[in-house]
Amino acid sequence: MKLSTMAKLAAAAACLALAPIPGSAQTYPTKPIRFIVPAPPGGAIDILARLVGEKLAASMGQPVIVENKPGASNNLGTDLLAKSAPDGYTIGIVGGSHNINKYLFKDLGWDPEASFAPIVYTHVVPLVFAIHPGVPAKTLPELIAWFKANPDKAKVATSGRGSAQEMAAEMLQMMSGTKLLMVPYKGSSQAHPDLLAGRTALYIDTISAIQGHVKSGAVRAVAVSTAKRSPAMPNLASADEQGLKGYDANTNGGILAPAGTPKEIVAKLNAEINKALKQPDVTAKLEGAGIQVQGGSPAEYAALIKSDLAKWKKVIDAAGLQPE
Amino acid sequence: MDLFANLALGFSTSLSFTNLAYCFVGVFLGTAVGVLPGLGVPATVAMLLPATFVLPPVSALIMLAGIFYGAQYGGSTTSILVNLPGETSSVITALDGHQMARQGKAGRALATSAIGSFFAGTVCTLLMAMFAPPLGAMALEFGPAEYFSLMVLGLVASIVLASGSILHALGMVVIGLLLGLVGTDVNSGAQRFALGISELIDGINFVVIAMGMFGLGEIAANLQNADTRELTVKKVTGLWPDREDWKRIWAPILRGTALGSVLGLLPGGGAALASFGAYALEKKVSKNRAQFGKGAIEGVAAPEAANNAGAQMSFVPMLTLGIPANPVMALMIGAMVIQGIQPGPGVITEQPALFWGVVVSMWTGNVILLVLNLPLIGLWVKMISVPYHFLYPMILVFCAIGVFSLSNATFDVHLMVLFGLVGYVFKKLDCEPAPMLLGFILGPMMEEYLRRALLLSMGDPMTLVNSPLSAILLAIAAILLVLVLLPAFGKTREEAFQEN
Repeated sequence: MKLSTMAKLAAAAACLALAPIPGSAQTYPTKPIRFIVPAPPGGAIDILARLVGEKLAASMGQPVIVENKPGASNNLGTDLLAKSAPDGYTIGIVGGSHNINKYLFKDLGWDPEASFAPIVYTHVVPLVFAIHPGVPAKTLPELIAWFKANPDKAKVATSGRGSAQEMAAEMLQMMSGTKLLMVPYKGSSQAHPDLLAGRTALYIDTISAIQGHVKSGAVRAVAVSTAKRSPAMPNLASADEQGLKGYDANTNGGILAPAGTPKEIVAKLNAEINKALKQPDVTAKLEGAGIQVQGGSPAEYAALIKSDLAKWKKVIDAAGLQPE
Repeated sequence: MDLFANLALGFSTSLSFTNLAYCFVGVFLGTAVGVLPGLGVPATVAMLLPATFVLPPVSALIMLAGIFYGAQYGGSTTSILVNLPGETSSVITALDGHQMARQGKAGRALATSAIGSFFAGTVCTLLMAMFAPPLGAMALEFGPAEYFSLMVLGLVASIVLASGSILHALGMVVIGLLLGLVGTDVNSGAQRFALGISELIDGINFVVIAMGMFGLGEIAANLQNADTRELTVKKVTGLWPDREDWKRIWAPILRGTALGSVLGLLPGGGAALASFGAYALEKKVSKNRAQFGKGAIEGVAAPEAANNAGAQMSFVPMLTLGIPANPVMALMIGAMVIQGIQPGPGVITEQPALFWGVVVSMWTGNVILLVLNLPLIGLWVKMISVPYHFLYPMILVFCAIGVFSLSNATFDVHLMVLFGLVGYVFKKLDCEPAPMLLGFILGPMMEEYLRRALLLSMGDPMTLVNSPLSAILLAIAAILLVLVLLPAFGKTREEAFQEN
């Protein structure tokens, strides 16, 4: 009798395993979707999540609830996403730190590749080499030459450990052979006054944060950090164009699901989010804020994460930064 | 004259029906956010940000600005009534404001706070209209060395703040400094005192400590003592300041406004010092200094004027230079950028209607706040006559909701409870939480600015005295320190401290 019960149970378990799990791709979604933002409200990925979330809710017929879970350089929210059920009802957006933090933090509790199923590459924000107008340089080679001639003035503002701004400066140091003094700040708004007053010479900041000061003439832009020029500043030559071959720094991000999320659901989300990203009002709002909208397949995003991880590992090793 | 043409343009913009309506929505929301403990202004502004994309830029900014200074009004209300400062700036108001409420003078305290804020708001609107661009440029003169020296001055002033023993105050400042060290070191990225808890990597949130120490600690202490359990121990007397009160508050309001408008200009923590500084100043110059900490009306008037002045003047660097003085300003810059407006010196010339409209809306907003808040005073005062056994569970729930909403973390709620216990113990030991909070706020900033100043000067400490501004601030701090410590060497030591 006991054995037969066991057999029945085993049979039932087998049936369950074979049967389509509730909430599979055909019917998905049947309940609200939780959209984790590992940063406080107001930043690039938060704005993007809210804009995309609104469109997703409309197109999929279920509410999309944006949940901010900031803290520890985005690690807290990312950890929450990695450990959520892989059923398509929890997704999250990550920023540039996703492909950097692995090398700067001990015991992350998640892996940027293994813990996630990438859904779509959403955006890239180029950085601008902004210098104090008192620095006698109009181009990047002139700036590098000036730094080499004036090592005591080679002061570069960064946005703290692991920030895109710091990584871009370390990349400059690595590729140009200059010695730079890194001066960390807690973000753009703190770094700007000292740059405007000439206490620091250079700040490689996001185009969205610095473009106002470039337009007003308070700082001078000498190069854009991405391999290609930015549509927001089409006249500004890239670092690569100006002779720093292969220089390519930016802060980018995309939308992920926990690893193990069914492929069909990932495909459906990918299609819907791609559609949302192409809506003119979404594009206009994001581009206005200096965020270049991307898109594409899950595989393309996975490949980008892999290549970015390799790129930043090289820079971090060259800079000798240790995980904390 | 330009000034009048500009103000006229500002009035015509801000008094349009739409803008007036958004101004009202803003200050109303702001008051609500300020009254609800813990629910912060940055979070509210951030959540409303996407909604403002569809508004005209002027209306959007007017509304967001309204939330910001509306919350300064609202924050004082809970400070005075239930001793719950939800914003950094209202910590000081709680000291004397809540004592006044306990003596049945809640109405007078609230009215004083509203009048002081309104006066400061009016003066600052005029100041901004006349001097915004040159004042903005002044903010850039403040480098890391100057900030460090300003913080030192603030910390020395915090010892003056204490109404009890100076030793207790010093001890509390040190505890605050130590708590401020928790988190990630900005220079190296190393974790300090985070105990391996990932929620502590960014440090402890100010609201968690304030709610725990003031809110929970206070409730625990009250429950133990049946006599003080009711929030008002005396009959409510008068909702409006009388002749005597007016005589006592006008000078503190003037001084608070002056101090607040200078400190508010400094991005990077200047405004946080405004209310603390104004209180410390009054305590030194007031004839009624003996009453400070026991319900002195000057102790409400000065810091309230100062924090409103500070809040309003913090718009100057944002509007004229594109440099945000605090996270709320940073969000507003975000809103402007998305609207296609580049914050910076160009705003005044390219978008005069926007600039002057926002500046003048701050005055109309202050009028709305006054009209909105004065009639509410009667209601608020009735609220605290609710029996304590109904009131305190409500306060606990609001504290918990507010703290949870900071970053959707239950960890913060647990931490608040821990600080509640700590607050209770400190209360029993006669140690005031205010100096600790000041140490907590200023400590990390002081360290950051000092290390940055030394980094920029390549390790030369002379950078702190080479700048005249920094040298003057340090000198004032030294003089103040001597003045505070002098009685300690005299025979009158005990009396001096007990009275101060």
